[in-house]
Amino acid sequence: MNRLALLLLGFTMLEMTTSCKFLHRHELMAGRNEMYSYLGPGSDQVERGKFPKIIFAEDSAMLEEGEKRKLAPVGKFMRENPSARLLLAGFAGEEGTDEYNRVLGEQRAQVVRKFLLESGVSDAVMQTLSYGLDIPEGLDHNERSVQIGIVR
Amino acid sequence: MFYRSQFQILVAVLLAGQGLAAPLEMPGELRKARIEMLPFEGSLGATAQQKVQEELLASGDYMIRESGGDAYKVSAVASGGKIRGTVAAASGKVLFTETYDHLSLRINVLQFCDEIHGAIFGRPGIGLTQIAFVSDAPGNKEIFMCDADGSNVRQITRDRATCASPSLRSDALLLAFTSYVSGYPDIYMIDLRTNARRRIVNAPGTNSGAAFSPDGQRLAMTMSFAGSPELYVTNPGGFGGHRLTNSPWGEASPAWSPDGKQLVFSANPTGRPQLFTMASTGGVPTPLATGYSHTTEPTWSPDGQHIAATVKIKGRKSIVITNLTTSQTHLLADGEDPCWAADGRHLVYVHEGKLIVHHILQGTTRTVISNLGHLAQPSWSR
Repeated sequence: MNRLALLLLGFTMLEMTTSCKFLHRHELMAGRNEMYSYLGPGSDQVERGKFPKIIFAEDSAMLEEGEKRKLAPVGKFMRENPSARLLLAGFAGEEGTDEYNRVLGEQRAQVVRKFLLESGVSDAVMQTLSYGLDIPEGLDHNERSVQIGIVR
Repeated sequence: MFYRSQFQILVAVLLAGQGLAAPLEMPGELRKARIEMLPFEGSLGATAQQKVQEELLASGDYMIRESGGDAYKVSAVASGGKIRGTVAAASGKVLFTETYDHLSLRINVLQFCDEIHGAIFGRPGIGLTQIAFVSDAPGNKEIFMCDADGSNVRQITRDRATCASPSLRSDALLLAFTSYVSGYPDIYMIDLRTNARRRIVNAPGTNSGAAFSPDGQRLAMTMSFAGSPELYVTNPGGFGGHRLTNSPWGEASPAWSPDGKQLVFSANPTGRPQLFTMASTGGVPTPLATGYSHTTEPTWSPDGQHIAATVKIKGRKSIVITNLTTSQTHLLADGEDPCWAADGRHLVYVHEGKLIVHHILQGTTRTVISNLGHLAQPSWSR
């Protein structure tokens, strides 16, 4: 009896710790997952450059066929590395005003996220952000694209 | 579950290809007023009179006459740290008499001039209003503020990360803005009286474009945590969030109508961003055609009758003003990121990285800041 109780307790605790790692997107004002606590400029936790940049047409957040093919290796990588997380960073070129560029970059990152969702990558292991026209330290100038970084 | 009708979108997109230009129509009250300056008395009378006259002339709203006839009469007694100013109508009837006793002659002069404007035009002048803006002078983009004439520039953020999208509450006491200091675009609030700062929105994805409602009770913004950039309205603490849009079209840059009942914003259904208006409590967005195929960053005039925005024509950005009653759109000048002044007569915007204040009716411009790196996204208090 005691052993069973301990086992059940163990399972419950395991369940609780695992579920704490994932984002609760259904909560209206959920904050960021602490696992992503600082992944900004200068952070060496993000591995960039493993996947090619996904390029977009001017003012567009539509993922073109040629760019979709570039995303095939990402799904494969995530299946082989179940503990990895992805950071999808969206950019815009000289397309418009600053705030429009920021939102356009985010639209692009979300479009890539949705494609990866459909190819089997879990929502819980991806986060998006947009830099708009700005170039964070440590990155090349990237127009009209989404860059995929890996967090292990 | 998109917008009201596909037909309206089609019409808006078709109209977007043509540049409809029309003469700017503004209410008749916005003409220059005639003023006669009676000699100021008191030990500082001459200095104060000179400063008041300079300020009135610089505003572009007045003609200063020598004497006689059909003019408002401005007089004052200035001594010690005070100005006691009086404005009378041409008939001699005193419109107001007020004592200004602030820390500096400059502030006394500015407030007197603001109230002269109020007595004559029915709306206070903007001399004491504040402009918040982005500058990259420190090496990265930070938030700065200045007085309406570009003086008293001070740096508000020192995040050493990209800051953007400042929004001043009407009374210039609170400032909302976006900062990447956490590594992500989150929204912060600074109390400018105490410099206390709080992060108010840090949902996953991109949070940006915070805009104070005219009554200071609500913030509109873009958040993308639900899977696509959408408009939300929260209280100034970032709580009580209410989602307003639900489409894949990337709603951005919300701005409030002066009565707080509507929002105007840009969205991008076809790769050609255009403006939409919508009830600020949520509802069906209505397209607002400007006649241009790439319109973003709208701002709503204090009289509720005009919306200014940025259009992109063959790669160049220009300011347009759309008259909501006639639906005519007027091309104003080269530049981007316009924001209306509280008097509805001035627009601030950025051109070639400089901050420009444009007197809409007189058609005159003044470069208000030109030596502080590359500027962007001004927000003007009321």
